[in-house]
This record gives sequence, C-alpha cells and structure tokens, in this order.
Amino acid sequence: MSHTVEIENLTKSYKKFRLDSVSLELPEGLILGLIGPNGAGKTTTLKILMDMIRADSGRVRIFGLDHRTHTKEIKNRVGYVGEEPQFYGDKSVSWTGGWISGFYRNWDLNLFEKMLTDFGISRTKKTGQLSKGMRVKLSLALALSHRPELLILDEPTAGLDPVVRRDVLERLRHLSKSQGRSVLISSHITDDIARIADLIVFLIDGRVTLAESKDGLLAKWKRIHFQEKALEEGITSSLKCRKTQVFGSSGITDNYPSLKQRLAAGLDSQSIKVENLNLDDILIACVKGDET
Amino acid sequence: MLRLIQKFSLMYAFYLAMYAFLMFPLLNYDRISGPDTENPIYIFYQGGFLIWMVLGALWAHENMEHKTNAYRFLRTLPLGGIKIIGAKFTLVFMSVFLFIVYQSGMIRILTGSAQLATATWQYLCVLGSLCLILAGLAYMGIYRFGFVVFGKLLLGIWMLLFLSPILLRQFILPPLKLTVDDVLGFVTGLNWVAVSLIGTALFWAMLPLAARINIHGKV
Repeated sequence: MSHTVEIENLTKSYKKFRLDSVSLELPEGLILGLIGPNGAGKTTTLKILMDMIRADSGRVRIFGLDHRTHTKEIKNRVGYVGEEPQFYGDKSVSWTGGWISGFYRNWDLNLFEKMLTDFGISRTKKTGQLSKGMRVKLSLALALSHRPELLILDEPTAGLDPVVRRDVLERLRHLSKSQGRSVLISSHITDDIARIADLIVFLIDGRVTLAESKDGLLAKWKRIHFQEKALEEGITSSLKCRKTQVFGSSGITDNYPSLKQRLAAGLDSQSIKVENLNLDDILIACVKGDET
Repeated sequence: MLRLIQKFSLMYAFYLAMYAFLMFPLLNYDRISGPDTENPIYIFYQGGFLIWMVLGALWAHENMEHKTNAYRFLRTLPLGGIKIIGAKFTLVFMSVFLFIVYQSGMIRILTGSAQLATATWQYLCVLGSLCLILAGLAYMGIYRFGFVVFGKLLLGIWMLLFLSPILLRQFILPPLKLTVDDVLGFVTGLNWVAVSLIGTALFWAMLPLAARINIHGKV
C-alpha cells in the first residue's frame, strides 16, 4: 500500500517545547487520528506538513514528494483546516471563495456553492462577522472545494454544534471510504477520532507514544478488575493506572491478547472481569503511565 | 502573483490617491498660485513624502495583515513563500516608481520647467532608493520580530537615531548649519543612476532573505 504522508524523525524546538523525532505514515485512503493533550505538538506537526513552519530536522513526503521543494503541487492536492481558521475579515464569504478559487487547479465552484448551502453559510456576510462554528464550516467548504486527495484537519470539530459535528465527521468518512481520499485529523476530542479513524497516533509531550490501527488498539487495551490474589504477581505489576478499591483492584493492560489465556480461570470464576476501554481512557493511561 | 498584488494594492492605492488628490495640491498651493515657483523647499519635502507614503502604506497594510493573521491564511494556499513576499515587494517598488513619475510629471506641468522636473526626478530617485532599502528592512524586521515587537523596536530606533542628534546639537554640540540647498546639493550631486541601480538591486536581493525570515519568523 502506498503512503500519502510519510514523516521521518521530525524535530522542532521551541523555548519551552520540543517536537521530538516524530515519525508516522498515513496509507492512501485511510483516516489517521492524531490524538494528544493540549500542547502535545499536534498543531506544530500539521503546520510543518503544510510548510507553514519549518522543522529543525527530519523529512516529510506527501504524495511521495518532498514537502518543501514541491509546496505548490502538494498544496494544490491538499485541503487544510487550521485550528483557528483565518480569512480576510472585511471580505464576504463569496469574495473569499472567488479569490481563493484562482489559486487552485481543480476548484469546483458548484461544490463550493453546495457546501455553503448545506452548511447554511450566508454568501454576503463578511467573514469577520461569522461565528467560530461558521468559520470552521467555511474553512471546511474551502478546503473541500478543490477536491483534495488529502485532508489535513487541525481540531476541525472544535466549536461546532453536535449536529454539524456529526455531519462533518460523516462527510470525512464518506470522502475516505467512497472516494479514497486520505485524512489526517488531529483532535483532543477522542470521540470524534474514534468515530471515523482507521489509525491512531498518540502524540504526548512532543513524542509519538503509540501508533496502531484503531481496532488493534481497542483490542489490546483493556481494564482488568480483579479480586485480591486472583491475578499472578507478574501481571499485576505490569498493569498501568492500578487502583485498589473496597471491592477489589483494577489496572489497565496494553497487551490483552497475550494475557487472555492466563486470565481464563479467573474469568470463569468471575474473580477477574475485563472492561473495554475507549480512546479517552487509553490517552489518560498513556499520559499518567504507571501512576496509581 | 497578480491575484495577490490585486488584493494587497488597496492600501497602496489609497495612500497614493490621498497624496495625488489631496496632499500634492495643498502643499503646492503657492507654487500653483505663482509667487514661489523656484523655492527649493518644494523639491525637498517631496523626498519625505515619498518615504512617508510608501512606508505608511506598507505599515498600514502589515497592520491589517497582523490583525487578520493573514500570513497563516496565505501560507495554506498553493503558493511559494517567495510569491507572497514578492507581491508585497512588487507593490512597494511600483509605488515608489509611480510616485516619482507622478511627482516629476506634476512639477513639469505646474512650473513648465524641465530643469526643475529633472532635478526632482534625480532627487526622488535617490530618496526612492533609500525608501526601497528601508522598506526591505522593515519587512525583514516585521517577519523576524513580529509586527507589534518590531513596531516598538522601530520607535526606539527612531528615538535614538533621529531625536538624539537633534538634542545633542541643541544642547551639547555646536548647531549644524545645514540649509535645504545644502541637502539638495548633496543629494543631487550623487550619481543618481548608480544610486538607483544599487538601491534597486539591494531591495530585490532582500526578497529571498525576507521570505526565508518569514517562514522561520514570528508572523
């Protein structure tokens, strides 16, 4: 499978933050969710991809092209929605679309008009007068109107109401599954990522701490509830986020398939229970580590 | 790049139009009405207005770009960084050129003196070269430090470079006995062709540097 995005050892240092040897790959036609707490380096990574800021070292290839030497070609094939969409506030929605259209090879005016209608964005309104949610919608309409092969979205659903949020996520899913577009989406709203992503990358303190398929991740990470002495000592000590409560203890494993057989007896006797985790739980476990 | 120039040109057009339709006739009232046609002060102040108009438009435009986070927006478009900055440099260059042509032309029309118009042209070409260099430096400063910080730095530099000598001359050093004629004599004594070529070359040489600073800088 060819890769739409390949990042190798990306490093960028600021005074109080360092993006540290970030590597990831996004195969063609899939959705990769970049998850991490605020300030983890998600926006920095995406801005480097868009050549909006320069990395100190590392290599980025998009569509197999170097992102710095083929900027124009790449951006013609990429739709980008930034964390805080920026436009010329004194210009109307219609003017903004018309002006931007001239920079793209494949601008589809009909598609842009349709999306404005779907999103309920007034064409005559000045972009500076749009609410945050409307600005995100306009940004999405602009990002999709040149039919990009890759979408790079930085917290696109922040500020959207639940109905539009769901609609946007469905659109992204449709673009990926029906039209083979690749999507790289960052968010700290893990529910959104869980809904659409095929691959998950956890970025914490500027480092990739986990990179796995969503299904693989959810299959491996489980919370185990156990009564005292129901679990082998070796297993207990390997659990993350261990908690001891009145009715027993619990902890999180990141390798459930390999433990499954060893837990069989306990599961039968109900001295051990296994609970599925969501991405939020996994993120918290990754951030807290072995902290109990 | 034409699309960018069209978008950016509004502020420059406003300043140029304001000068052409308001400031120029007002400042040349005496010359137009006749009594003071040969006064060299009319050439002298034009240099200041050239710099004020171009750098004023540049500053007002960058202020707007700063307020709207325009660089972030522009960098998402399929454009090389050099094209964005190149459009701005082109506008500055065009403004300087248009100002010089307009000013010299008007002097020729109003006074009927080819000699005065030529002197104006030469003087403004020298000052225009200085203006181009200052504009290039201003862009690099804005990109390196950010609009707000550079604005403060600029104020500090202005105080240091312009006010200090005035205060020193006023209170400590002997007064400098320079007249308008002396300044004009010095400037028009320079080889205006060479100065213009050097100024223009330096200005365009600053473009790739400014684009590089822009991508690594604070805007």
